[in-house]
Amino acid sequence: MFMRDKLEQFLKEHNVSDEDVVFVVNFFLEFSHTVREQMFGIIYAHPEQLPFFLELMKKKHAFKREPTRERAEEILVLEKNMLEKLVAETKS
Amino acid sequence: MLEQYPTPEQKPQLPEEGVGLAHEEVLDNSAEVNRGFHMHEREVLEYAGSVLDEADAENLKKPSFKALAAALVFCAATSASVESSAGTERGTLEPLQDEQQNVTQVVSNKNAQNFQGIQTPFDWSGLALKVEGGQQGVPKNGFEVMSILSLGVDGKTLVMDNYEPVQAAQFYEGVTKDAHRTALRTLWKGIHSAEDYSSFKTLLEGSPLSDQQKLLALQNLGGYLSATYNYDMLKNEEYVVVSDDKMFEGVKSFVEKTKDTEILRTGICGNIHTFLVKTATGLGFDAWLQSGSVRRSDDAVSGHVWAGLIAKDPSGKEQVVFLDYDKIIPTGTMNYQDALGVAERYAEQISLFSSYVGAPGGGRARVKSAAQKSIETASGFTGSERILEDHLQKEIITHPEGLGLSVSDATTEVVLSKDMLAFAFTHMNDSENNPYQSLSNMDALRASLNFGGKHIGIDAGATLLNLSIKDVGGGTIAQREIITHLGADFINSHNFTKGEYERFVVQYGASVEAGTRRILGEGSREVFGKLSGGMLEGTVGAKILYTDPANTGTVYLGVSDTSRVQLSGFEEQETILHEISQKLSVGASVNVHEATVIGFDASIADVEYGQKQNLKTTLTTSGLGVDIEGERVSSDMKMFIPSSEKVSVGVNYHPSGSPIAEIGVFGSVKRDHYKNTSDSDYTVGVKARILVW
Repeated sequence: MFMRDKLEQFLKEHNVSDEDVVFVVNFFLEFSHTVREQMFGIIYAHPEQLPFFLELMKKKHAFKREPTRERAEEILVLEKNMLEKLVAETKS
Repeated sequence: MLEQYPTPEQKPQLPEEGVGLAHEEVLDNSAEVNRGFHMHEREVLEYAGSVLDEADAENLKKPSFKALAAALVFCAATSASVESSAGTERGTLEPLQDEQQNVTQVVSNKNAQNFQGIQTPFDWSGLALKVEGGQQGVPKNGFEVMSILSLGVDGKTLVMDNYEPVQAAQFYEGVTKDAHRTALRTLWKGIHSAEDYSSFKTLLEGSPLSDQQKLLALQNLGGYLSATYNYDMLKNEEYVVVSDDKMFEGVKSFVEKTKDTEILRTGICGNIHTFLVKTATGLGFDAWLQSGSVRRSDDAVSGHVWAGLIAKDPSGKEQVVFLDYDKIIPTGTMNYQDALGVAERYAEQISLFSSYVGAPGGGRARVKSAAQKSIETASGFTGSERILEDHLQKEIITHPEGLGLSVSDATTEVVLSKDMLAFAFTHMNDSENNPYQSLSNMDALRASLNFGGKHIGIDAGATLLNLSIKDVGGGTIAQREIITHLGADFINSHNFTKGEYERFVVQYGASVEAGTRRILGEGSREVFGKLSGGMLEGTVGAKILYTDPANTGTVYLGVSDTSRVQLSGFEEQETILHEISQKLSVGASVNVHEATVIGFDASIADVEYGQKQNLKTTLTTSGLGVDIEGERVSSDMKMFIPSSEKVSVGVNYHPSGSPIAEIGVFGSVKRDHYKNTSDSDYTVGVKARILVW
């Protein structure tokens, strides 16, 4: 599988653990192949945001399995903080 | 605005989880939590989107803005997986079903214009639908999200800047947000107001929408239909025609779904795209159905039917656009063979043996991409009609022997054959990176076994192919497959003498050509892969020859009939025998001088897409053979199969002595006339054959 290979290789190159590599691949598999590639395009272009992307995927995966208020809040805070930081960088 | 968004201390007012609630109440509570989450997330995303929206074009090129855009899209995209369930047959996501969600504006149309210099092949409207959609059915401007992404990955990644034909954004350049909303509201109102398909169609057709708005409406209709996909029909292999009214009821049930109602299941891909083609035709598009093979999300291969239509981009230029549920695939060309190459890149799979085109309820004609032709040739498929003609001309079943080498364009072929065995290796490389060629590289190793005699022959072979299939992103996908080929031939003849020397010969015969395709997956437990398609066609023919008393020449008259096994339609899909060619041929050969023979052959054939005429002249003299051939095709389906003129010239030289050898050059000029475009194709090559034993 072309994208899986690329994705796995990319993640390993950026020191993502084997367990997390498996998680990301499985997470991506929930999307159509086109969307998967597009999401990979984003990660690939912005490896500096990889920890954020990884955490976000994990939290959204958990929320999807069991949508609780606490999990929703965690995601919203994570997204808010990250986007706020990035917005601040655009203004600096 | 983000500043107003609740911090952890000011938590959003999500519903409290029930303790000790009944099961249904818990579920309802989950739905509320979901709804609350998405509502609040939109606020977060809108704020970040507004920063991008207000930025000028120069700022948008800065890394900080690109990083923001990337994070924004990733947040939205990952929520799509939370909010929707993976759905359709080929892995596209179902549109959201949550009711009365408002459209989220991430970046306005103003800044979409700023991003237009950076183009991407992706059709982000599909993702936008998932990210932002909702019961309003107003997946707002997809290209806005698309533009953000292209900004984020510009210059560093898998961005397809080398892929000119696919630029979905082109079709929506200049479409204002209001125009977009008008298109989708028209669709929505039509679905809500109409009682049945007929009234829906009347309402839609009476709306003053531009071509772009109509395409947007069709895309969204495709999205709604994908949510009505009938998995039971697929599972039970009940491929039946579904009425227009039932399809419409399904769409309506999706659009008007409440907590207490269910979505009515309609049909599978063939039914859904038939409905889309009928609606597109009513809207004034030239539209049709196309079948082929697609790579699914789990890497398996499946058959698929999608829609095609001719649409104008904002510059007014027409091109073939495929519509696959809610995705559009602009091809940038009116050359249908080329368009199929783009579709294969999108599908990440070659539609070998499965590529047919046709109208709803009508017949199907086979159409081939350049890649399909290359694979068929490398796997030994030449067509049963041609095989039979060759055998009848030689009056016995023969197979070439020796070592052969053929080099032309991007393809090199080496053939080694001795007695019953033959091996061939074909290498093809798309060194020019033709965007319409879906194969970047092909290595094919064919082994075949010929046995039988002069009158009955069996040719059984298998080809192992290593393919490198282009995707739409400038990447390639490696795929191995085995294609089997079985040819069975029979010819016979009877001699009748008239007078002392005159000779009549009646020849007759049949040829059958069959093949299967098996794709070898890395994880496949089947040694020879999974059966992924096949073909079967056969030709019967007869020929009567007359040789004059002085033996100075021969004339003949021949007829043949060719049929193919195929599916009857795009919906019902029953296996039928379909006649594809009826051919009448005449010819003569004259001995004009010692060892010099001139031959003339002419034929006319009614083929499934029109008529084909062929005229061939050959000159054979000591050691030298020259043949000139002209072929003219008058197509009744010029949109898909061009009318054409082709002239081929071949010169072969057989040096005397040993080893027995043959060298030659060949070339051809072909001009194709599609409905709205013409193309020329030139081929030049050399070939050599030597019998070393």
